[in-house]
Amino acid sequence: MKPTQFEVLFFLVLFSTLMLFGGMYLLAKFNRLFKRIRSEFLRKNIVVWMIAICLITATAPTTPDFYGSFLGNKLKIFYPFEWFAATFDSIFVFNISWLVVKYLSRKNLSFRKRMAIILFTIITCSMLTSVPINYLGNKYLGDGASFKNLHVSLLFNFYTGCMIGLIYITMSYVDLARKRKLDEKELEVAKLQQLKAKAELDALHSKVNPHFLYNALNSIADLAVTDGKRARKMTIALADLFRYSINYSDHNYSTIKEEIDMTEVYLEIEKIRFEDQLNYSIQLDQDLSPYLVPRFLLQPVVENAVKHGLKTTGKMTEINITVKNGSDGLQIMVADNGPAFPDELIPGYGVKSMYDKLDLLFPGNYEVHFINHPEKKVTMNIHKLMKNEPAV
Amino acid sequence: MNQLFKTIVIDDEPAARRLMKNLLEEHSDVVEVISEASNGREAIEKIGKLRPDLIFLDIQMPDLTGFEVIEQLDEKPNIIFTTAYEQYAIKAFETFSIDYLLKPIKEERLAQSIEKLKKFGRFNQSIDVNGLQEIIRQFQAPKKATALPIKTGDRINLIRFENIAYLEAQDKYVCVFTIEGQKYLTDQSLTVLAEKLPPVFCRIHRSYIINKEKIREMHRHFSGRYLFIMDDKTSTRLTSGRTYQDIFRSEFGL
Repeated sequence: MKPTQFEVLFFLVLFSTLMLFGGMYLLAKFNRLFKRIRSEFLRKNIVVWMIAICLITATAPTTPDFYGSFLGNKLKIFYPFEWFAATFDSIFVFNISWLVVKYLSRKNLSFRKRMAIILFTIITCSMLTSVPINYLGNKYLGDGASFKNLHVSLLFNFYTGCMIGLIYITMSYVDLARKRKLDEKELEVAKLQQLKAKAELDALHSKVNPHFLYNALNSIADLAVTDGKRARKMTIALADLFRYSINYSDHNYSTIKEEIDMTEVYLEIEKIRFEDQLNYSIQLDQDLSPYLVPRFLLQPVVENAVKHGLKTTGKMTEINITVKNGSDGLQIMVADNGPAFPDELIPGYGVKSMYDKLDLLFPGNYEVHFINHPEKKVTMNIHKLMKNEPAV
Repeated sequence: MNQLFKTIVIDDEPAARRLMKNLLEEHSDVVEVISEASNGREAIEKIGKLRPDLIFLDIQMPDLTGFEVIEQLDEKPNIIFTTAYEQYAIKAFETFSIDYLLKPIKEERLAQSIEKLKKFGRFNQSIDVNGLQEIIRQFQAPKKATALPIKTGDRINLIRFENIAYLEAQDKYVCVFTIEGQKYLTDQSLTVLAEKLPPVFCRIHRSYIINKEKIREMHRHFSGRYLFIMDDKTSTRLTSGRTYQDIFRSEFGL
């Protein structure tokens, strides 16, 4: 039994509708569906080709040729011809446009200019394809006359090109907007991180051990009566130390000279506090004086050394600070003669603050070692140095 | 009539001891300073020998804390703590000390302590040792470790937990990999190291411990295994082992 014309038509329209949905689905999901194909070139061509086939099939019933072929019983030629045309068009237009997009992405053009060039490319390519397709179409579907109705075909393809181009531009624009938003967010995160880093540093700056202050004041309370000169010396030293730690919290860096000076002030105070139990020496390579280190890097480390040194009672505590140019950058060594570092070293406030400051200001650019032999010491190596005032 | 409290002043700072002795001269009708000590060990020795009725005890001394000194005494005298640490000024002190004085020491405050001593001070008193140990436990609470010490020869490197991406057992050694891609070797076993690491570390394989906070991606792999892509410089890929599946599954809530 032969189907009626209406039944054939109905079937074709149904088929076209299914292809339309298929094409849309592919368009939405192609990224996930085809990720197995590693080569980008191959993957994109296959996707574009499949979508083109789907959409051409879907739109076939809307073209005038369809009815001509349908009425002239030429559908058997019409569909393969349409598929062939879709294959040819899509591969040709897509690859040329793709090359242009690739080329443009390397040039630093504004979004508008880039989009204009791409639109132009797509339209031109699309119109160019209409020449051979028109020729072949006339030969197989029409009456064989070469280039009959070429102007119509050109106009039609101009229109199609415009449409594809505009879809591309819309998608690019959405992409651009999303990227901008993402960039903004990233910038915000970066800003927050910077703020956090600053807050952390601020917190670190102001932390001269408060007990140190109270203990020192307690000593002054005695010295004021027993030894006025030393009381005065200690008061001035204390003032210097706190001025250094409180007033300059805007600066994250200090010169090595400043740090050493302050460490010396600190050690002077400790020396008065512990009278005959503490001695210190500082060796500073003068060439290094102007280089920058995190502000208040040294004091907590030296305070630790003093504490550890005093642990061994009945013996003079010797603190030895050396700053020199090592084989890989600046080397700061703080040695004391207290008991050795235990293997299971647990960092306290001083060590943590040292790491935090170096992490914030010299990330990935420093090393810290705890050494027991031949001398018990902490060494800090800073590889890349900055001189004087940087842009902080 | 009034018995004098024989007293030892214990403080690591000479000036602080001197100050205390000077201030106590005002109270020579109650207190007699018989000696002084500059560190914990000296204090224990002198208290044992001289059997004072009262000690002024600094809490923070380099060798021993004041609490540790008391713990080691057979016979406890009356105690007045002297400290710069405000956080030690807690009620619990009152259970076994007469008073505590904050540095710098105020004369009026000292006079109050002496009044208290006259009222409550006992000769040959005994102390609630359990309460004391509780306080020592509180204040000597082990510092929370924040880094893994790795000994290489004479050096100790501290690798902070937040910088460790993962640990890998190789033959006799364990390599600790940082997020920067640095590698540290240690001869401690993975099991020993696991005990030193905080809960953010998780064993996923016989040879791997990873930092849960440094995972960038997790993918399902064959036969219930998982592939972890670490958030380090080289985006290291690690696969979980079947025996550790249950452990890390429960940890990740899978």
